Amino acid sequence: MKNLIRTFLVAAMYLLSGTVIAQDKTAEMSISFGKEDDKNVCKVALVSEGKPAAEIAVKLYVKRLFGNLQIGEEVSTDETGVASFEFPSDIPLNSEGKLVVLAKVEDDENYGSIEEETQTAIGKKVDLTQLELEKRSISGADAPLYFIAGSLIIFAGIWGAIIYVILLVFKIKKSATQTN
Amino acid sequence: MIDKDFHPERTKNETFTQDEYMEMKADLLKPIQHIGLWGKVWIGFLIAVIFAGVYAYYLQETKSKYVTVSLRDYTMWGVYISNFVFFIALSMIGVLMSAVLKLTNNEWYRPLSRIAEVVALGAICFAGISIVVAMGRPDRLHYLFMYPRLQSPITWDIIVVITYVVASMVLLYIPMIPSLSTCRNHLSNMPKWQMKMYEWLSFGWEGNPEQWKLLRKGVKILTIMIIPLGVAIQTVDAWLFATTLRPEWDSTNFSGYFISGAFLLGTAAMIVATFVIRKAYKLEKYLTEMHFDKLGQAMVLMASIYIFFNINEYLVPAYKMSSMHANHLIDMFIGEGALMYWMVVLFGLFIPAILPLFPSLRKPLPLFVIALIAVIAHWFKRYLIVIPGQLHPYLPIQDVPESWTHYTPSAVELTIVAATFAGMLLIVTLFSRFFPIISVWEVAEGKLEGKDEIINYK
Repeated sequence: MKNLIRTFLVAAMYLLSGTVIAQDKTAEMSISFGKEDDKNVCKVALVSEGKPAAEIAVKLYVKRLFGNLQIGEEVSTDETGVASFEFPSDIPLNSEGKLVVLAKVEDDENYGSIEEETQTAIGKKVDLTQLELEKRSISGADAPLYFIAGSLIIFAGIWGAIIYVILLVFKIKKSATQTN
Repeated sequence: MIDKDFHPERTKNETFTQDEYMEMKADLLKPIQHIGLWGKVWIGFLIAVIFAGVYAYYLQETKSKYVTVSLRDYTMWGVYISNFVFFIALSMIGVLMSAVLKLTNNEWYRPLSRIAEVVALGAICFAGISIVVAMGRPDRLHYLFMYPRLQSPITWDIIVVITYVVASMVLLYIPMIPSLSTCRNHLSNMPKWQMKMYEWLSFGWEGNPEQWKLLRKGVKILTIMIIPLGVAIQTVDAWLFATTLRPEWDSTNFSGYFISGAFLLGTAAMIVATFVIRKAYKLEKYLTEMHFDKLGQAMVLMASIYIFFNINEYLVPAYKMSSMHANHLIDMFIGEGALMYWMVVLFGLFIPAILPLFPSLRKPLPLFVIALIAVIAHWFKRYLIVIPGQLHPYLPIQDVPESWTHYTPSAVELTIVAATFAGMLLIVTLFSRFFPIISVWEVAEGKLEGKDEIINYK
């Protein structure tokens, strides 16, 4: 019985301490953009219980078609609870002219995982007019017009000859009835 | 060494009387009039194999394909596709025998052209069937026609195969019109439907000068056209592979490699077909030793060209031995595929290139044995082109199931392949039972050597 109680207590303490280690505080994250020395800067601020959360590793990502593109290296928040990232201005914007930016704290010993998402218009606008003009391509869904025209000319030439020869066979029959 | 023998057929100025013409007709119509016991057994055997194939296909389509066929994510193209490549190559036989020889004034083509065209037609039909059999979803076959993507080699393949089937049929049929009229006029004791078929198919042929003029015009157009079509079908076939991302298919030489291989296979298959038809129908008078001598020489030439392309395909990448090619090449040279690879090199390349250099080995029987071995080796050659390289993809996946890394055709696959062969042979056999397998008028015209017009013989 003693053993059982001891095991129960050890297990309870272990679980309790585990929870404490995993996450004992909550933090709120906010993302803002600004300029420093002509460079775009993305600032991720972490606030916990009204106070800045320092020394927390933050990663910044931009959402792309098949996954998230990490921006720079992991940055830790300073004593004001802010992690600053230099934000590039040449990432192609999506069709709505926006970038979806994600800031993440991953498995922090105090705060666990935190994620915040926002949108920005900092980036490169993709000029799709040329692509629209060249919608037809060898690798695309529709073939280029010259390709279709060339194929049809070859196809018509060969099949024209075959049909002409078949018509000759009917002419053979016709020439027989004429002589008869 | 090659021209040492005396060939009376080549030097004699020949002509013949009306009676001799009638005898020639009688000789060449004989196979149609009588089917022996062995002939019936042979046809029965072929039909049995075809039925076995149809049943195997029924199993393949009704049971899980994972169970019935050995195809997996790595080996996506198996023995059906290598069989398809073999049949496509075999269909080149018609181009070689009835177009290239005819246009280069090699008069010895005359008794061979129809045999070649029938084999070509049989081969191309079963090449098409092989593709359908290989389809994962044959119920979506019509999508290929409804939603074709013109830039895709698969679409080109459909277009070129259908065009080649039609052109081969017309090229077979048009020079046959006078022969069909001969059947109509000279055959007796035939079933009524058969005589009606000759009547209908001979299209009112009476052999007047106008009809001959039209016939020659049609044959000329098709003869010229079938060469680029033959080159196109081999090229598209080669590009199906060359445009697919696998290291061993990554070659700019692939179409030349395929065309030269098809010419060699076509020559070897022609020797086999000529020997068998000569023996079965006792046509020694028309399919002479001279034809074997010429075909033997042609085989040496074709094999030499094909060896050159093989050196390009294997030795150039082997010299560089880039990591992408290394897996495949080492596998072929000294690894798992080595036995098959070196057997193919020996029997499919070197034996047909060297042995027929000796005139005594260009006699019918020894040449038939060499050619038959070469044809079999060439079936395995297509297997080696298609299958082993797929086991080494550009992006290997970790911890793949064991069955992905090896491919051995299942019993279902092999039965269907056997049935395609039986089908092709049945087309040739039945054709030779209902139509003259040697063109009477073309042979007779060759013997006249321009001294008289074939029109004057009835």
